[in-house]
Formats: sequence, C-alpha cells, structure tokens
Amino acid sequence: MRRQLKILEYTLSSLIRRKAKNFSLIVVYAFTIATLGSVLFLTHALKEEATGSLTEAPALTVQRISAGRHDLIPTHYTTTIKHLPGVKSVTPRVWGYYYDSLIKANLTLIGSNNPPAELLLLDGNLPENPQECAIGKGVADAFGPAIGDNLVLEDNEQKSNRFKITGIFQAESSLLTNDLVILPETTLRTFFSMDPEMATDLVVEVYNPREIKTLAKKIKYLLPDTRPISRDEILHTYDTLFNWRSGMMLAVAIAALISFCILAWDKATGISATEKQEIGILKALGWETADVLTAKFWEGLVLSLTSFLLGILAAWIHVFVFAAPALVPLLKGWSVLFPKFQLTPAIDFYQLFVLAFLTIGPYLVCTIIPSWKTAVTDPEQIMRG
Amino acid sequence: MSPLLTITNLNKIYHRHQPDEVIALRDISLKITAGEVVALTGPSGSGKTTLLSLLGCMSKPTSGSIQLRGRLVSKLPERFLAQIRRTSFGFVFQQYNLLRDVSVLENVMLPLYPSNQSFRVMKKTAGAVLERFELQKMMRKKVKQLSGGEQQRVAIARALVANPDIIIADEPTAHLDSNLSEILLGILANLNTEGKTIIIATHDPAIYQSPLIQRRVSLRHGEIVEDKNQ
Repeated sequence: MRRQLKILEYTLSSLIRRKAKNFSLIVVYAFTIATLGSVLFLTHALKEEATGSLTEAPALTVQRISAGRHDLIPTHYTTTIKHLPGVKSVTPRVWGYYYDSLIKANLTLIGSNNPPAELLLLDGNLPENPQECAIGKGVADAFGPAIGDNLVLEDNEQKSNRFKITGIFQAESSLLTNDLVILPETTLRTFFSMDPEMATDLVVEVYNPREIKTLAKKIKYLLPDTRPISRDEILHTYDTLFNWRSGMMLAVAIAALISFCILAWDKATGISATEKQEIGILKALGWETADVLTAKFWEGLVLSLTSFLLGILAAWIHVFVFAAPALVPLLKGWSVLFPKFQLTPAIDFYQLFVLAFLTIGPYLVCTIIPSWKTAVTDPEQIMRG
Repeated sequence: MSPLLTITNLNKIYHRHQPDEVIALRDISLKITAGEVVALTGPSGSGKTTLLSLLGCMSKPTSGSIQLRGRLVSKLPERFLAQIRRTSFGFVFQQYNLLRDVSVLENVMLPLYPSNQSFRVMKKTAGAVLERFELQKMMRKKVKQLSGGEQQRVAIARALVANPDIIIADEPTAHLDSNLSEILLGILANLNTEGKTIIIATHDPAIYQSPLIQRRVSLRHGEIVEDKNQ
C-alpha cells in the first residue's frame, strides 16, 4: 500500500512536470466527453420530461381523422363512447396551436374546462372571466408579463385580443405546460371560430387500464373516422423520437470519439524518447516492470478520470444551466418552435458508466501497452536508445 | 577471500542471427573481490559499457554466467534482478541519466520509491546523502539548472542513496575538467575506504593511472587483453 502511494506521488509529480502536454490532452479529452455527455444528458432529460408530463395524461384520447389528417370531432360522439362498458367518463377538449410571429414560437391554447394535471403548479388562479388567461412559464419568459398584465393574441381575422393574466405556471420544467395559454373554453371557441358542437378531441377515462386496447378497438369499430390513441402509444412515440434523434447525434459524436481514440493511440504508441529514457533510468535504478506499469496506470487513470469528470461537468452545465444551445436545434426538432424552457436535471447512471467504460478503458490500454513494451526491455538497451 | 562478483565465459551478442549482428563480448571470465577498485579500460567499442551493464544486472548475457556473492544471478527473472540492482548496485552513468526536469531531491530519491521506506524516511535518507556532497542548498533546484560538476555529484549521491556495496561508474570524468575529475577521484577514494567495491569503465589516464585504482582490466574487441594489479 505504501509502495503504491509512493508511486502515485511520483506519478502526480510527473504529470505536473509535463503540464503543457497533459493540459492539452485533458482539453481534447474533456471536449469529447462533454459532446457525448451533452447528447446523453439532453436526450435523457427530454425523455424524462415527456414521460413525466404524460403520467397524468388521459388513458385514451380520441381524435377524428379526415382524409388522413387530424380534424375537429363532433361532441355527440361522447354519447356513443360513454355507452361502452368499462368507460368511466368522456370529456370533449378544446385546444389548438397558435403561432406567434413576435416570439417565433408555437403556443398551445387550451380551454380551461380541460386543464392538464400540471395545473397544480399554478401560481395565481385559473381564468374565470372571458378576457382572462393563465400562461406557462415559457410564455411568461418570452413575453415578459407578470400576473395582472395583458397578453395579446391575434385571432384568425388578425384582430388583437387582450387577455388579463391571472396565473402563471411555476412548473419546474415541462414540455407540456411551458408553452400553455389557458383560456375559458367559450373564449377559446370564439377565438378559434370553432363550432360549439365540435371539439379538438375527446378524453376517455376507463375503469380498468388493461381494457384500453379493447376499448380502442371498439371505438374504432363504432366510429370508423376516429383514431383512439393510448397514453402508452404517446410514450412510445416520444421514446422512439428522442432515441432516433439522439442516435443521429451520437453517430456524429462517435466521429469525435474515434478522432479522440486516434489521438490517444498516437500519443500512447508514440511514446517519446524522453519517456523511454525515463523508463530506462527507473528500471536501471531498481524499479520493477510492475512499478513502471503501476506509475503509467495511475498516470492514465488520473488524466482520463480528470478529463471525464471535467467533460461531464461541462456537459451538465451546457445542458442544465445553459439549456444546451449547441444541441437543442438538432435534438428537439420541431419543438424549437416552443418557447425556451429549462430542463430538469435527469441522469442515467448506466449511460454514464458505459461512456466512462468506453473512454477511460481504451485510454488506459493505449497508455499502458507501449509503456509495457518499453518496460520489459533491458534497461541497458532502453538507455542506449 | 571469496569473490564478490564472478563471471565465467561470458558472451554478449546484440541482434543475434540478424544481418547487423554485433559480438560485444567474447568469452570473458573475471573475479572481483569485495573492496576492490577495478578500472575497465580500452578504446571505444571495446565492450567496457556492455561488461558494466552485465555486471550491474542491467542486461542478460547471451551465454556464460554471473555470480553475485556466489549466487547465480544471470538467469534470474527480471523482478529479482530489479531488486538486486536496487539493493546491491549504485550506478553513475556516463550521461548522468538524471531526470532533467525533476528536482535534485526527487532524482536522488528515485531508487528508494520501490523500497518499503516511508516517504518521510526517504526524504531524510536522500537529504543526508545530499548533505554529504554539499548539495543540500540546491535540493529543490531542477537538475537542468545545475552545472556539469553539480550534476555529476547528484548522480553519485543517487548511486549511494540505497547504500549499495558496489559502485559502477561508466566514464565518470567524460564531461568533467581536470579539477572536477580530481574531486571525483577523492569522493571515490572515500567510498572505497568505507568498504565499497568500485568498478569504473574509463579511457581517461588520469583515472586508471591514479593510485586509487588497484586493478586494471583492458578490453579490446570484446576480449580481455590484460588484467593486472597496480
């Protein structure tokens, strides 16, 4: 143990001695880890965000499909669905997207009869009067208003409508609540010029979640122009979407990793004449091959672990403090139209372990093998060069 | 008196069975007793450095045997040879072979790292040796900041820090002026009076003709051509 500590002490002193070279290596190594780590952090956080937001989402949503696209659904469909055994309730929802050219983002306008579960986080009140609204954190940040101020939205006749803000969602972060504007349902119908007999979709609650698939089939059978979507299907879509996007990004990041491996290999195999000489001297003075390799192992571990931790820290700051400006356009896709939002830190430790294994491991091997090749040679031969 | 080092029919061939094969030593036999001061002389390429390396367990012979205190060491595994180099030999190399960017103290401590001594004891031991060679004031300096003579003294201090029985010096005066060479001879003489066996490879007459040298072994083309006591 004492011997190991002394060799570690020697290693640290060697690292400091070659600080310029080691610093440049740490910068490249940490940058690679930061890139890969950012992709993993962002993807995982988005998935967690989406999954978390959907846990309180309706078990089954019924949309109407007209010529293959989403269309308004007649509210009388609720009666047909309600009569199906196992259905607890059917509620028509009124909502729609609104593009604001000022902040260049899509907002989601929802009738206040159908508030999502995240409303629990509301600071203030839900709108009660026709010219009132409640907004998400992202909307508040984008427009800069506070409770009591007005939010101006243009209807489909380009007429400005003023809504007094009665509440702001204080959601820590949410893909769903961030861009929300809650209006009284009647106000929203007028705003969208929507027929009172129509809704955007229907929310179906069931007694037994295991019957969802069967109920979805029955609804499709009875109302062939509908498309029942279960919560699991939405979750699966999110999962697939982010996995695909992160896969694309990782494919790019892998190129960075490969470049780094080439650099590491080059550095390691190209063991300098000075380093060879040092190994020869140490061996001549009575260091065993194992002592030399231990020193090289510690050197590699200290370098790679420092770089890894710095890279992970940089990735964390990039994603969770600065909201991943370098990656968001690639990973969030169409959702760039959302107002900016802050991600809740979420880390998959398994992914981190894999990343550590795939970077620290190869680096250690690249460092130790050439040193081993030198260290097993007679000291006299090493020093002769 | 039983010999400290015995070499028998020693041969060393580099790049064996290759076009650039070099026979460095041919059929060398030699006995060195404890406390002797032996000079290995001969022109460049005669095999002096190769013989020193073999005597110091820094390389293995192609054939023949080396015994240290009666124990056959030429066929020992590398792990044991490292231990022998650490405990029995102190090396002073021609180019000093110091780590130039490392402090004097750390350079002198290098042979002690694999020992069981604590770091505190290592520093104390190295400090004592440096004091003996009046280097204590420059122990924090990097080797590259020292003069040639100072570097030579650091190299000797490093060779002695583990208190070995045998000092092996390869052309120790090659980079020194006559004054520094005399100082070095004085140091070696003192070490010999303490009972150290000293083996020096040199082609400097100031060394091999000095009264310090008790025996001169001359080499030519890898063979001993003369072995005489002085």
